[in-house]
This record gives sequence, C-alpha cells and structure tokens, in this order.
Amino acid sequence: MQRRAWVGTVLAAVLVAGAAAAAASVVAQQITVTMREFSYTPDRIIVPVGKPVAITLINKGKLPHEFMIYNRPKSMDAMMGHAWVEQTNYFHGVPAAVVGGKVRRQKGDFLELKVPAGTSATITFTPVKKGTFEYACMIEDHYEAGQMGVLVVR
Amino acid sequence: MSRLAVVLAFVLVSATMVTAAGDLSRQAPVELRVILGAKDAEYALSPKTWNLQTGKLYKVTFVNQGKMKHEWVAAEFSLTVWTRKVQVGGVEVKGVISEIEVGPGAQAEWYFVPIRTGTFEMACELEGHRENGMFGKIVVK
Repeated sequence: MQRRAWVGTVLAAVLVAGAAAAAASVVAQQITVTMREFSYTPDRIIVPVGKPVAITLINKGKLPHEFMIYNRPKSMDAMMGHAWVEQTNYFHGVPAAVVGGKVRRQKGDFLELKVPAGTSATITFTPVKKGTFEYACMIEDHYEAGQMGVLVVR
Repeated sequence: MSRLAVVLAFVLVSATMVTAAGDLSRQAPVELRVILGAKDAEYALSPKTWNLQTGKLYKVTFVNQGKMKHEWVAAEFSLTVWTRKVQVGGVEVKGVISEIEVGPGAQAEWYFVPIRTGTFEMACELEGHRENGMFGKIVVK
C-alpha cells in the first residue's frame, strides 16, 4: 500500500514534468531585437499567428528606447502625439508578460516598454491578430529619426 | 543752512548714480559660442559653465554639429534675464525665451541681458541626454 502511493507520486511527478516540457517547447519562438540610435535590428519580424513569441530587446545605445506595437499609420503626421498608438495598440485584450524594462499600461493592456541604455527586456505574448503592424520608439525625435520596424503576423 | 547744502549734494549724487547705466539693450554684445552636440561628441554641451555679469548684453550662438536634435533648457535662469531677440536665419523672434531647440546642422543666436545674480542649471532635457552629460551651470555675478 505504501509502495503503491510512492509509485503514484513518481508517476504524477513525471506527468507534471512532461506537461512543463511540452509547454516550454510551445513558448519556444525567441526573437532578439537590438535597439540603437535610432534603429531596430531587425526592423522586420515575421511571426505565425496563435503561437507564443518572446521578443528580447537589447538596448546597445546610449539613450533609453521604447517598444510598442500598433497599426501602421498612413503617414507620419498621424503619429503626432500618442493618440494613434493608444487607439490601435496591438495589445488591446492581448496579454503580455514582461521581464525587465519599465512597462506602461493603458486600462490594464500593455501599451509600451521602455528599455534603459545598456539593458535588456523580454516581452512574451501570443499574437492573435493577423496583419502588418508597426513597432517603434516614441521618445521625442526617435520615431522621426527612423526608429521603427514592421511586424507581420500570418 | 550748511546742513541743507549737504543734503542737496547727496540727492544730486544719488540721482546721477541711478541714471548712469543708460540703455542696456544698445551695448555691443559679448559673444559666447555654445556647442550643443559635436561631431565627435553627440552629447556635448560646451562650455559647461558660463560666467556672466548682470547688465551686460550677451549674444549666445548655439551650434549643433551633431546628428540629433538637442535642446537647451534653463527654466530658472530664463526668468532672470531680459531677452532682446533670438535670431535664426533671417528671422528675429522677440519675447521671453525658456527653451531653445536646435536641429542637427542648425544654429541660433540669442541676445539677452542678465538681470539677477545667482547660479543656475542648464541641460538638454531630451530623454537620456542629461544622463550622457548634457548639462552645465550658469553663474551670474
């Protein structure tokens, strides 16, 4: 009887470990993006819809840089202020887990991540909306200087 | 009678002292060239210390030789000077100045007379620029 309980515990442990391993392999898509004045490398990311993605942002510049994802604007004028980003925030209703950096949220949704110079941060989320989006830094003059990239979810 | 003469003389001397300075806006300016962003040092703000005197007209020329936009902000100092004008290209701007932004490759000239003495902070307030050394002080005597 005691022996059977022990076997049961081992079986349960193996099952839990197996489930964890399966979950870990699902989380696998890792993307590294380097931030500088004033760019992202790469400036184009393609990810499949419905599969978790972890984007690690490494700031190799001397200034802080941000990361946010939103609908591509028709022109740069539409970016005046933060309204466009807030209105079309990709993370509206999409949970995101962030390690490192400084996160700003909007009504509970992830809105933007600021990565201080010389540090890195990772954002993990599951893209649920297909399409072509933009990621950028909205610190004054950074976007204007070309700090933006394209995220394709398909 | 002699006491009255002394008082009168004192009043006359005081009146002369008060009117001595004349029109402070019409003097030849003392020129100061300020680097806001250099080719080899993007976050340069030079000179880091400005030593000024009240009552003198200064012409500060801000020059940006860097690749980024930079700004010069000294909120408290700005309230203690009288601005004659800011000159950019063929345009003159008059009024109270609290902040000047200079794009890469651009320059601007600011004419002003310090009124009050003190030590004031100045910096580029664009995010992260102060942390990279873009700050300094203004000493007015």
